Amino acid sequence: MWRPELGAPGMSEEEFRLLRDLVHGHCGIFFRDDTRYLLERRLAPRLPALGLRSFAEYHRFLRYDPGRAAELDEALDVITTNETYFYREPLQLAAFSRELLPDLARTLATLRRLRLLSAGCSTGEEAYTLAVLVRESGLFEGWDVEIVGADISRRCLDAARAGAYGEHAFRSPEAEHMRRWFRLRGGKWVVDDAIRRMVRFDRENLLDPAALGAASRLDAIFCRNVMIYFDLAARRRVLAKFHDKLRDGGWLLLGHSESLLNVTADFEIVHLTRDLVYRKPHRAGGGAP
Amino acid sequence: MSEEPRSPRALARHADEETRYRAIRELDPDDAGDRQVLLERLGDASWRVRSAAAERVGSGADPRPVLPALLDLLAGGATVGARDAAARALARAGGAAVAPLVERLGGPDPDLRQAAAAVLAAIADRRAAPALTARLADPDPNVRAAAADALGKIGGREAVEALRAAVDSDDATLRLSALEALAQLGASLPPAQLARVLEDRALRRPAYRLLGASDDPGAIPLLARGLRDPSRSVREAALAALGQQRTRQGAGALAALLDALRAAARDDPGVADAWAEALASEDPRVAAGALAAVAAAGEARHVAAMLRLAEDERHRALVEEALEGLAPGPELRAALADSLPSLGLLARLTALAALARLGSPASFESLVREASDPEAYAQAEAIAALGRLVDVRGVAPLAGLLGDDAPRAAGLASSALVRIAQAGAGGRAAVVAALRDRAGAAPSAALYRAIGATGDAEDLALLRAALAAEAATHRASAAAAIGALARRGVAPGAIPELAAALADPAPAVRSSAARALADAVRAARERRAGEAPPAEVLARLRAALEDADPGVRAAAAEALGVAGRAGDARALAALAGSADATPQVAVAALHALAALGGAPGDVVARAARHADPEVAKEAVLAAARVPGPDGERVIRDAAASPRWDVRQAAARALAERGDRALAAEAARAAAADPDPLVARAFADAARALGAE
Repeated sequence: MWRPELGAPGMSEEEFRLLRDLVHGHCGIFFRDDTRYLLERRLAPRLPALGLRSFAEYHRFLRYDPGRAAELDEALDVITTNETYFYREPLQLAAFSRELLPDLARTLATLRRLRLLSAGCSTGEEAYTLAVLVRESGLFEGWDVEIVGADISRRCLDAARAGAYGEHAFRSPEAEHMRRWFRLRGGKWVVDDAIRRMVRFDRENLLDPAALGAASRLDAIFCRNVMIYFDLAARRRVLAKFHDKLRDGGWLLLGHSESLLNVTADFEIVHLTRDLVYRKPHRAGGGAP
Repeated sequence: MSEEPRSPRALARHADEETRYRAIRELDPDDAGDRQVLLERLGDASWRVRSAAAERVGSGADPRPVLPALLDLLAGGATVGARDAAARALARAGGAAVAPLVERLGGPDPDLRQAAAAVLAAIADRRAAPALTARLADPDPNVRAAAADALGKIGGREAVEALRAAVDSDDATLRLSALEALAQLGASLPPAQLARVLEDRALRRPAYRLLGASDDPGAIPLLARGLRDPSRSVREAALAALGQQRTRQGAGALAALLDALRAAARDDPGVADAWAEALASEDPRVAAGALAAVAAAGEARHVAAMLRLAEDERHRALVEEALEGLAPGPELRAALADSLPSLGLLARLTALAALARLGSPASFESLVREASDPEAYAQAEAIAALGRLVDVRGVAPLAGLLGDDAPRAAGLASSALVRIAQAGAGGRAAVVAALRDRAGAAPSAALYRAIGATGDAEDLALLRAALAAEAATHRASAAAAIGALARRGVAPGAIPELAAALADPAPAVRSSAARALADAVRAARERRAGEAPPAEVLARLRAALEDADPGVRAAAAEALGVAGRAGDARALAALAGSADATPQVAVAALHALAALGGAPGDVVARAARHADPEVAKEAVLAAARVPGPDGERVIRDAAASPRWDVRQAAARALAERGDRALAAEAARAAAADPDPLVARAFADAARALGAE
């Protein structure tokens, strides 16, 4: 006689909160109430994979099972992975190319060293986009350039390091010209070594106090659509870390829907021709008040 | 006393803004001298400096010494910026500022009363609710509106009732503020009151938000009217309400409304086009409502716009459901095919799945290709889509993904296969045949899981053999699959290999076997009313209570609870009540004791003090069945816990205890608890206990 197993379990508000609190305690990422759908949809496949029947059991598994550390990594991979593509938010990238890169080339002309961070880089499209923009600007020939992509997900970083992308990574019309920096191999677009050499990927939990420990003084940080996962306290921690790691006058670029209003006054707003960006203010020489 | 020119106090008065800003962050709010400088900087010309000073001055270990100066500044600061900075600092000081702010609410200056209400809104402390409720009748209209706004931040039954009454006020500003506050709290109004409010154009937007939160069937005709309103802003507000309704409940619950929308679209095609325009709204509630409305209209010409929403994870399931509800036919097929080139990857998968459902072999193959590409971001979505299609052509490619080398894809494929098997006899036959076929040549953990969920007694031999497999993951999965067969009632009789697996060298196999035994024992008891498990199984489970691995001990404890032998209670109580018990084991032992009729009061009281909240919660639930004041004490202590989940367990225990004398206590907790989820649990308990 055929009898089915019960259907896919839903995630109750209580289960959502327990899982959210657990993830928050583990890595500081905080899922707002309106993101229950995301946790439910993305974590649901973990239940049958582990032979569990409810999210309450999954919560217990994450708390007590000997394999909990590996499963927490797996859960984080699943819930923080976001599909991205080359040349995302083209207006901001155009402003970066036309206004910020020339500014950086002038400011750093003596040092001839450029350091950029793509924070929450996912599968690496943003970091490689920045590398292409720097390269194509022609302003940094012979400079010591390093673009660091940082993410919490091992799986994303593996993909970023592999640097092989499908057609949809080029879906933005502005990304079309980037194909010249890629070679088609086995149906995938593989990043050219000239660009790959400019980029390094590190596993970082931005909320870890030791995060970005290896990063040298940064000239610009891109952190777009990452802090939407953080609560206010976590946002402040991350922004304090960015403030610490940026040199005076360094740039901070957030997603177009993100603002620092009511979060921190550490950065000043700078109006570019077609965009608003944040900058770590310069301090005056410090004479008598 | 003169200051060092490089000291933070001196630099906080430097001419350069950035220097002042950085110096302020060095000042100590608990030092009287530094505090003075911070207070002075609340009047700085730069908003960044004021903001940093407010943040700093309100963050001292004890904010009380600074409160009088901040309250003076709030009342009489020289500039708006300084008063605003004082308000921010007071909000940062939190609970300590509530009593003096409540006092200011009764003062003679309306500006100060308004400012105090605004700060109380930011602090959101329920102690301020009675004073703010009284201010809804303040002679100054701005104070009344600020009080309503603050009650909307604070919440609780008292606030909601006061705001509902304020909706009928003669003061238009207060009516608007009260509606917005209720909307913020997710509260609603009775339909008759909402109908009155909707007459006033200025109140329609918040009124529709309240309609979205209403569970009253009387709200539906009001919503239907709004969806047909000629004004775009009213229509979008109504669509947002529909979106709220649709994400809270299934299409079935809204059937009458959706039928009315279908009729409206038939009468006037322009209405459906107007809804379709709102699919592009940046407000996700409006987009979700537009999706429900457009789906109800059922026109193929809106398919591309609907599909674009599938790029957004929040809407994908609704889009899939909406497409399934459209009339199949050449018109829909053409619309889906035409939309493909303009879609992103994820929306494209949704379109391909819809086309495959309509019989397109090329679309089906595209889906299979995406599902088989381990590097595709969309692999998981493609595998799930194949499962949803419940098409037997998907069985072979899905079975091909069950290997151990890619466990994530294997888990998804296993779930998809189960879905196909559940859809009907044909699908099940195809899935079971494919799984049995692969079991010999390519066994894997996911394959055994799928067999457990879809197979029958015929598969027992295969799974028993797998209990001796070389890979521990295979043995553990086979044990779990036997448990699943038992749960489904298709594995009758004892399985000696399962009991033997309790001695497996791998802890994962032992705990999986213990859980499977619990399933088998439960199934046998249910089938043959109380049939006892074989003595040898019980002996092995009792021995497993001493296992080195806590997972095995916990699973054995659960299984012994299911077995129902009162004689095991003593050993389980020893596990549950030990202060240093491994949490997982203590939880399982408490659970097992509950199955055996209840845990002793002293064990429950000790477990309730366990450092791990999961143990404490299980103990609180067990306390529901501990008679007399001992049980009540555990529940009362839990009801005052700082943890929301422990308080929620207390609410459940109150309800389960069934003592009507505790109804008033539950009602009081419902009114006072700051957490809406916990407050609801206490309210449920109060109702269950017969409170008014």
